[in-house]
Amino acid sequence: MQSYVKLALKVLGRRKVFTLISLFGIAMTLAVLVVATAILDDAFEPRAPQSRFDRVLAITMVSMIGPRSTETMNPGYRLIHDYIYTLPGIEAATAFSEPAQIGIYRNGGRTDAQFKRTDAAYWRVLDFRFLAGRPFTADEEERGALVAVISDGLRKRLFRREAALGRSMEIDGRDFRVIGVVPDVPITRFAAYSDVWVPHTTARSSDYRHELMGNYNGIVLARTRNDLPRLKSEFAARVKRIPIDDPKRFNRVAASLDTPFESFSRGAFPARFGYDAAAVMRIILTILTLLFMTLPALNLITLNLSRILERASEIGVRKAFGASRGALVMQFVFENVVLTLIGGAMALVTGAALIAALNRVDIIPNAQFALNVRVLLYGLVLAAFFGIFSGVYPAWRMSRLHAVDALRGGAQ
Amino acid sequence: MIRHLLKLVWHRKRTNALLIAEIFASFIIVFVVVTMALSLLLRWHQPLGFDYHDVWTVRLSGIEPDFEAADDAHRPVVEQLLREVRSFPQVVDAAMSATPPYGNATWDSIRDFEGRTVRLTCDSVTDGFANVMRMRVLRGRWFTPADDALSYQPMVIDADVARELFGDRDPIGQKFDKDERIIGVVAPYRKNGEVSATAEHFAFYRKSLTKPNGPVPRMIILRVRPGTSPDFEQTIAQRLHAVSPETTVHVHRLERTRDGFLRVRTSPILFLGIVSLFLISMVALGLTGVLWQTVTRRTREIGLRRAVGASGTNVRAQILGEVALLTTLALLLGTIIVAQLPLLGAFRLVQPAVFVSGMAAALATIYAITLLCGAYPSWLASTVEPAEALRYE
Repeated sequence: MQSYVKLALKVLGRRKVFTLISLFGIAMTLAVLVVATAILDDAFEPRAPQSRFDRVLAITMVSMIGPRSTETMNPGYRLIHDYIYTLPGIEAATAFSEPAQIGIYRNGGRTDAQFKRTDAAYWRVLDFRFLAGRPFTADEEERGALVAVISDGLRKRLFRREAALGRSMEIDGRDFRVIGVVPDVPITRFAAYSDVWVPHTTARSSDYRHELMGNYNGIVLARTRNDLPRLKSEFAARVKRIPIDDPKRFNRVAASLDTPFESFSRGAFPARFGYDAAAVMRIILTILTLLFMTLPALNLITLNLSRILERASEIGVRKAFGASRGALVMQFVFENVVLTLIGGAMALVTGAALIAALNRVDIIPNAQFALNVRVLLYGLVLAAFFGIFSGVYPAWRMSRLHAVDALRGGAQ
Repeated sequence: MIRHLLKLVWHRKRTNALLIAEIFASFIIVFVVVTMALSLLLRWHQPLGFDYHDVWTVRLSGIEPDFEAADDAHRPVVEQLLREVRSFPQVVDAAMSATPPYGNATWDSIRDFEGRTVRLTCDSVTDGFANVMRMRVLRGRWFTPADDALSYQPMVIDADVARELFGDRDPIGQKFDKDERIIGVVAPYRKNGEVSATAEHFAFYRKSLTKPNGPVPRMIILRVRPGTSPDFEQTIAQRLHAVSPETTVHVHRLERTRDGFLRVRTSPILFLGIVSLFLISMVALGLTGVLWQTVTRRTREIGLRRAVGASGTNVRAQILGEVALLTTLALLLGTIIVAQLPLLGAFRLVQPAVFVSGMAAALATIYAITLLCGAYPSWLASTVEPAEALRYE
């Protein structure tokens, strides 16, 4: 084993230009994949304030299906209130509106902010760390108290260095009192993303309470992960019993409780219910990754192939002394894997730099992407897979050389 | 000469097949990116059919319409709010629109017309819309308040729809559907602005705030006098809240909405461009490496050619010729495959001219890159000394 590694490094050191070209390709390919994985990881792994999201189910869309047309929208508050809040045996359930961009007017200027209406349970389902103050309570929700929790970024934009607690700000033409400040939330965490959170009961009109379809999202926090299938089927049974507002146009309501990844996948496809969207999404992502890796792999294969004959005499000698084809294939694949692992290490460094750059420039709001153990692991698996993927064919070609030809310097 | 080159290429068919596959893949990538960029560039500079400067939008929410009712229960409120907005001296004009420009909401409609299926993008607007958006009426007229008395549903189409449906006939007064009649033609209107398809096929329906006609739009779109300060946003919101405390009001500037909208739609192309640039540069490096390797390996062959009288230039031409041949084979394959795309309906997405120029640009780019990759190795080959080469290894 040790001698294999030594041999591989020796071989790579011999032709520095080729090694560099190969490494460049491998490192860049894997770096792009590492960044993509970090973004996906950020969106779907449980992280504060969505740490409990390994045991939540979400509802983010509802379809009304009729013989001639289908309408798809976010669920309305009534659907969540009547059919989700009341699910048996859950830890908590919350409803929150789709984020809307609003303008907050202060001292003659306008500050843009993302805005969410929600309930008191929201702060139990999500685990925000309060930098100052507190969340709003069930009592404040009940009363429609004009209180707001804001993000630290908005606090800086509105109040600069001054403390924000107890200050008032005008939203929707009324004065809300700031009662809590939480850290900025990345846009990738759909349930948590916002700058201002206020009780849903502060809406000017109570019409939203009667909507089956509207602009809310619902989330259920289960007691344990094992409860998830039970909750899904319980909700599916309830959906069948939802009375239809307009039986002339529609005869069926479609909605389901989904894990965050399922709900993201469902939103990505036009035909939305009745099949495993998450599985389709996984297949698509895998195919895209493979396609993306094909060109770099082809490149590596041609480079390796063109080097066969350079190494013909080495192969000849090894064959003449009785090395089996399997041993040779192993040796060459191993070399390739060593090369890709070095490339993988470079990719992690490049990827980290790219991620740091993405976090700093404001393309993706409040991005806090991070390389973590999982991403690192993905990176390693990808690198090893890539190495084997691109190493097997050249190795097989090399091992097929006849000893005699090889010793002469190559067969044509 | 070409037959000789073909023989040489055939001789190392397996390595060359891989190279061809690589060049082929690069061609497809360059083609896709260049065509997308070209088509965007071309669309970017087409006239929009409206003027987005100094236009603001006010979204009314909380008073949602019942889509089934014959009359919108909130119609009087909406009418009053619009009247309030128009009464400000800073406001040039204001109107309602269901799906204003640069918004994510779109109303697509597939209709049958004289036995054909036509795809339209529509909006429901009130009478002031054309004035707010500074649209140009080419034929007929725009909606007026007097249209309340019409026995049919008046419709204004843009020039693209007029050409598509009526060709050279005069569309004014033509029936579209049972109770719909075309009363005017405006210059092509591109709701998605600079990134819209070149022909969006836009049609406007009239909504009245003074008689029952189903749900009315919830977006006020207004033109302010140039230089109106942001304070005025708050003034509008306060006035509207005072009139209808039930209604939530969001004021936005169309110019800023436009910035965000365009950023979201152009960044994927930018991202794709960067990724493909890196893929292509990797292929280029790899190709250089392979050619270099080949030249070193074929030192003896080259030496022999030099010894029997070929000049350095001849040798160089041979190596470059081989590269050009490989590229041609790959591009032939690529062109044949890409040429099938129009059969799959690609011309609905891009214009034929853009498609062809995208292909031409991709061909030129790939030839340039591969020949550039061959430059150093072929120079290396031309410097081979026959005497040395013949006793090489």
